[in-house]
Amino acid sequence: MSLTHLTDFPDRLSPMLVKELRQGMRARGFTMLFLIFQGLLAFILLSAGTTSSSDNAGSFASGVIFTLFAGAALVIQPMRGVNALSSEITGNTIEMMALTRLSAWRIVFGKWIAIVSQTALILITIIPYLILRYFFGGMILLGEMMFLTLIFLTSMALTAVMVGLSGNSTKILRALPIVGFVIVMQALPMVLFRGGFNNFMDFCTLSTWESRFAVLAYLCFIAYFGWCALSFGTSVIAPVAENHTSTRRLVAWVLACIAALIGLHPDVDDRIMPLVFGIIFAPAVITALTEPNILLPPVCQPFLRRGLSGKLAAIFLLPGWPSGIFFTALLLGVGTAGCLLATRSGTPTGFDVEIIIVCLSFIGGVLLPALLAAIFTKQENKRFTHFVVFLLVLVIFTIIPAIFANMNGHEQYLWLFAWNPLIFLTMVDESGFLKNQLLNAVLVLDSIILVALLATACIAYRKYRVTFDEAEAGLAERPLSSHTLPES
Amino acid sequence: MSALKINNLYRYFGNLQAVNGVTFEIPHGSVCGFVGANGAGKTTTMRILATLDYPTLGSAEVCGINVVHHPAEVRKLIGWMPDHFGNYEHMTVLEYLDFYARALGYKGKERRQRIQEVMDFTDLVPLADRFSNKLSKGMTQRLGLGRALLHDPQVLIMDEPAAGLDPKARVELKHLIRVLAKEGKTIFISSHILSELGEMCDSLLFINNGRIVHHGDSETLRRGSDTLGGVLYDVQVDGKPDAVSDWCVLQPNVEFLEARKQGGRIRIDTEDPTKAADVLARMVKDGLRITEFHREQRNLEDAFIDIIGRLDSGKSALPPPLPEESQI
Repeated sequence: MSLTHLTDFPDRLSPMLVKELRQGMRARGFTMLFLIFQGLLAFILLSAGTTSSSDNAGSFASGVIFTLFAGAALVIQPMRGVNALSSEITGNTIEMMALTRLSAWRIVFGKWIAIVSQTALILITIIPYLILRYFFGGMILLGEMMFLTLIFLTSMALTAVMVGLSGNSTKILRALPIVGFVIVMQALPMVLFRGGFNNFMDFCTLSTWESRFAVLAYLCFIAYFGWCALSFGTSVIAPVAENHTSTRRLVAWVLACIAALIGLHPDVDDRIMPLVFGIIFAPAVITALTEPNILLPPVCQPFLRRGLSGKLAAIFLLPGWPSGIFFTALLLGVGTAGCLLATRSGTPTGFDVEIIIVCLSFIGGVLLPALLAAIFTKQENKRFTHFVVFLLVLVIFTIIPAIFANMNGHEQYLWLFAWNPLIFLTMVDESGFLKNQLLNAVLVLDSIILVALLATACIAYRKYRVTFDEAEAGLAERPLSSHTLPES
Repeated sequence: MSALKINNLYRYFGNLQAVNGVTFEIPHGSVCGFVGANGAGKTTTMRILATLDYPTLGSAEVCGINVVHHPAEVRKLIGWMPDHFGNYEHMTVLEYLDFYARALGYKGKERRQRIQEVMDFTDLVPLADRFSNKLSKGMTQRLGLGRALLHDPQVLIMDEPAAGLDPKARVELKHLIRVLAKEGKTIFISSHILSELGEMCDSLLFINNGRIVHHGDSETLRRGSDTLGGVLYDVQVDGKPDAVSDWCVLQPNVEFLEARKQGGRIRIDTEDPTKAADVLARMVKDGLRITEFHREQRNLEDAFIDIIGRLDSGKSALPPPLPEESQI
């Protein structure tokens, strides 16, 4: 035994990263990927150098490099995170880690950064090929570097999504993003070799303000999305006495405020704002509506310490789906008020009825699965899975009727499915419906769902009373004398 | 202050009451065995103490610190060894301990020194370069114990550590626990093997259907169980082994306890040796070919079965005659 072997990684590195790198570098998956990647690149580029005409050799080489790197970085590397947390949970090792000083966030972050650092290793190893490609000529240096960077950053976000979802106990749910990756994998060569590559290059040279702003917005989007995914994974493995929810919801509010301020600028197209708010709030709302309803006194105490304002904040920020529903309702209320205010003050909102119908359809499409999950889910840790299943069912009940309606030409038949808010997405495109009628229908449907959700949330929230009492007793540092049993 | 203190603890999983009003205390430096049938609530109680689960109601403290309100502080004080835990692929024993030592905040020389101490104690040095997922059950348990001891915890909570171990590994584990007990650590250990617990533990806790039904030292437990009355005899016969149990069915004051290779274990409901002689005489008279008939010491399994049997038959559990030193 050699204890000096233990100095291979410095102490300042995260223990989780050290562990993952030690394991990852020995794992066949990465070694095979690395060797195959290098072999393919060397073979294809050398072949291209000898056989292609000098005019197109450069773009061909770039296409090969970017396709292979994108395949590895956007598909294979993120997929390696599919079991990152579940393997620890099923292997009964996550509890061992929870008893150390590693927080749930550091565990998830370590898992993620280990895969990302291996992707970075792959990125570094393609530099010699890029130098080789430079000699083929016609290289847009800034554009290609920016493109590589964007692929790498996207890979980081996709890896975060996979690692974040990997804590879910349902294999099918964890594997869902892989379907998306496979589609990307198939589309990628076509995009990169059929003219799409040059378009990407033009965009990546950042020659216009629009492209700079778009790249910046994209970077913000993937950073936020990646953080949300990791935060979700953290919630899944964290002890129930930890609160990761409030931060997620508050960050969403802060970002929404920033987006609203940017949206006030006259040059910003109002029509993109629903999309921006949707992107900001979708992760926060979906996780809020599907969180397990387990509340412990230590989670309540920071709120209770702040008196009445703390208790009010607790209604919207406590972990668990009941407060998640109140958070969503508050969000919808503020959003509606903002829209009405903007309209009355004469600000040109640019919203037409169709956009409002689409927005309400999406909102209902999120609320209805949440309501079904709130009613039918008995196992708290399955709530997110059930939400996704109900959502998929709604999507199926949107696509199939739409196909039938198009085939038969009986558009009015879609009213039969008007219990599904997503059906309005197809109805709004059809000419046979009055837009105002659709707007009223989707508005009524969303309102019914929201009221039902609020009712279930109120019933569930009332049961927190015992936990609040216990938390207050803990704050007062008096022994818990009353042990009245709650309803089981 | 007690090392472990549980007060009126409840834990529900839906409608299932896993722990149902458990209350007990364990003093510093003692070894306490936790005994109960599968599903009795042992693991749930231990997991709550280890901050891995939470109570529906009631409180649990380690060295005076509430496990729900201050889990991080509690974790510094406890070492947790579950009955089963997975090991990592592509990671040697040395790297496994190194990972946990890093995760516990040890750095540089101190970390290496701590790993060395733990490996020496658990005799893992020869296995240092073996992959941790390729170890035998006994080796894995030693590795688990090593991991639990890395931060030198005051309290060690061990859930069925001897389950699945071969006799040699069991003896080794018992030896390690004795050494730790001598070092003054508080050890809370669950096991199905009552005789082993009796040898190691200062006190025993019996749990049944989520309730503590007895708490006392093993000697008191045996004596307490004796208050049921009767003396145990091992009876061996020549011929059909079932003959003893069949014979007991028809006899007043004689109870058949368990079958053995050529007969069984019986309880005669009196201390009087002449009555035992009468029973033997009746056996012979009724045609049983007795090859062995001798008195046996009451063991912990008997005490446990007595207590559980009383509960099942609707009588209250034994009035626990707790000794003053272990009454907590």
